[in-house]
Amino acid sequence: MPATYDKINSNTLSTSATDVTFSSIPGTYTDLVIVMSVFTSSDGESPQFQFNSDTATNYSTTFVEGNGSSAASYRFSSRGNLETSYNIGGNSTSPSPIITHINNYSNSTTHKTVLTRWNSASGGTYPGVNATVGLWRSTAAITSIKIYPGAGNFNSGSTFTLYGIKAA
Amino acid sequence: MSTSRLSTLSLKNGLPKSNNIWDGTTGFFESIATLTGNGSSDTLTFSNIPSTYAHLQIRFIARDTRATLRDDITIGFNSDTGTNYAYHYIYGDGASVVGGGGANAGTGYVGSIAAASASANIMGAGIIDILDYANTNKFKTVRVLNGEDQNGSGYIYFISSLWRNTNAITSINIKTTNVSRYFTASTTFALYGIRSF
Repeated sequence: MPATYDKINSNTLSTSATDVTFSSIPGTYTDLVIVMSVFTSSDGESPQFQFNSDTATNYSTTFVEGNGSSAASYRFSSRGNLETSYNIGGNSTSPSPIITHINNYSNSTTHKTVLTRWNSASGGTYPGVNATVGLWRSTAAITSIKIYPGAGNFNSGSTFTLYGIKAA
Repeated sequence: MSTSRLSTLSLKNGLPKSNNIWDGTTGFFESIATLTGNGSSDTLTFSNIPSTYAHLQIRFIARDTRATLRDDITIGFNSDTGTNYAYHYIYGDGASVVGGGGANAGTGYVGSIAAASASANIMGAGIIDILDYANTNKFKTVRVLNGEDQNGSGYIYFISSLWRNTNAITSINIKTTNVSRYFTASTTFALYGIRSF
């Protein structure tokens, strides 16, 4: 059986940054997994994705969250970016872990559905367990991913790792 | 999913030093098989699953021919169609959060996918985890992260299913909810095995 769960690239911020971009993503895998452990310059920020430099209103997201006292669901439609997560904490010792899956990212026949699970730090301003499903309405293979907070920066120490999974 | 094979010597700053996440010359996350819809079948089946892994994961995108925006899909094991399954879910639909489930069901539940009335090229997606699938001392628990967004509607699910059987899983079937609803040719389900020590 072929063994395949490869790290494609990674970035650990030594200084704060306004965005992180994975470019020249090879089309040889089946799925992508982006694993992030992030701090933001202020509480409550929302990491956004843009694929292949597409800034048109081709993105939408459905959210579900539980914050320890209530559960809620939201939706964003026809946006210029994919909001995969939100309420990321600015706490410098409790990063928010975020795992994003993009199945069949390199096919040229389907729009891209993006699944994300993340947690906001308990004890922070916006604790919670959350998930989203997002849609990029494009059949293009994903060759680049830009990740940036809704405002401010990703702080030093934030980590971003891109993995590829290849099916038989 | 076990990561215990990854030794601390292979890490730097909490991330793997090498491009291959797993130690050793053989992989611990291996592709077993991939199934594709054909527009004329309501069922996709993984058969002859080896018992040599610790856990299984299925990763998919899917759409079927039901004449609605979306459809549900189910999971069964070893051709067991008895009322030996239970499931629970929580989902968000963009406005509200709903929990539900079923006991003594004939299948487990995988979630929601796009269907024929959805805009072209929109799919549902999911990751299905089955831990200890070959263990003959445990019932089998299935965890699913699933969703489909259609730019104005959609569902995001957390799902758990139980198969009340201690047999090792040797086959898995994924089905639409009606024999006349077929998986499209753009549908793929990929099965992976995860090894431990």
